[in-house]
Amino acid sequence: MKRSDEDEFRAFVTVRMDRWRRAAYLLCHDWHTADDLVGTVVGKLYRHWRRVSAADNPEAYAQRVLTRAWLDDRRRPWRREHPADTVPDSGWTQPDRTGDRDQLMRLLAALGPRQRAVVVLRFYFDRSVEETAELLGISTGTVKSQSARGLETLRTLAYSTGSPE
Amino acid sequence: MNQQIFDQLIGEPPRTTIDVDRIIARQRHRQGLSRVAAGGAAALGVVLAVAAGVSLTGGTTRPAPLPAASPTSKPVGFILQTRTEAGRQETLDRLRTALENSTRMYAPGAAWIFMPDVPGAKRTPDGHPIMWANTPVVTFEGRSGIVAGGRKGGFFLSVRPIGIQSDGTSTPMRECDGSVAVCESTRTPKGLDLVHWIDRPQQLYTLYGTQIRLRGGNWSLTLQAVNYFGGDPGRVSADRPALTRSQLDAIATEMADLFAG
Repeated sequence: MKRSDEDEFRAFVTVRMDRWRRAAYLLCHDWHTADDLVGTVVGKLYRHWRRVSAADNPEAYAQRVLTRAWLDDRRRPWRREHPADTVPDSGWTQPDRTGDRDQLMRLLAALGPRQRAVVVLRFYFDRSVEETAELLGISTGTVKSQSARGLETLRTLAYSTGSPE
Repeated sequence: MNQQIFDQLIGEPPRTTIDVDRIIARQRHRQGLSRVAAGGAAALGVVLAVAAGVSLTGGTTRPAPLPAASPTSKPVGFILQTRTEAGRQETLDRLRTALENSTRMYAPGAAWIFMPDVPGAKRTPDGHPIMWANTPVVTFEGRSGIVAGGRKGGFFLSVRPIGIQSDGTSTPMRECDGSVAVCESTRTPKGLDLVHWIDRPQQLYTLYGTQIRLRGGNWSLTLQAVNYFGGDPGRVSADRPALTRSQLDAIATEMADLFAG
């Protein structure tokens, strides 16, 4: 890769790193695993940067890679997660929003991996029902039903935390 | 609004452990090794070609790694129709028929059974894989439970575009990058690129995969047989997938041969 391409790649990654990490955290609810996931995405983007940078929408490509990496991980049973009543210790806390974050993590942890991915794709990445269905390999009907449940809970959270509507 | 709520609830992330410079250095190293390996493979190809010549003139012929295509597998001009819903449905119907016929041919006695995708999924009748198409970037997908050889497991099919699409997405051919237990790039008897692999996480689960680049090079067919059951499974359903690797390769090869260029 030429120096100019590499500079472009670094700029692309740097600008989006925070959002990718947050999205990965919503999927994994563990910052270490989230960083592993994003690291995988960065490596894949670098390998295919020539094609990625030539694409009409490199951002969409990156989001797809992130989702695919998560789904690949999900397909590997030793990394598979199961809905749980209690949230495992993430190894990091922020005292002033601990309760809210735990509530969010409880919501997400209560969902199966793919159900959780629906919520993240629809409401964090603002993907359409059709795009989400395509990425997760499920029907649009399933996406809609999972989205409705997630949205309802989000509204409750927004109300209880005083977030702007 | 939603992003903002999520971000507020997540709070400030901890310092990242992602070292972009290190990732770049690792990728550069890997690409360098790939180039060296490609050069070595070319040299090895010459050696093998010479050896094959010797073999054909009297040596022992090694069996082909893939089953030879049967007389029924001549290309019949199967074209993926992506533009209309009716066309996509017709394609799905043909894909399902091709899958069922090929499986009947190479895994006689295998039976398709309902496999729940998510807990509480509505049951559908046994006997056929579930097939659907995704849009706007069109992909064709299928999944099912399968019973064969006294084993039960999951089965997944995908026909996806390889190149970058209008929205910047793509599903490139799988790379044998050392991330799974076994991975090999080869060709079908008709000369199509084929990658097959085995993933054995924890020495407990076994995932067989076969991917073929279809004629024209713009689409790939991927079949996966796994020894777990359900979209989000927890326990293994057998000591190995219901289909063998050779059966999976043969079914994929048979199907791929149906596609027009």
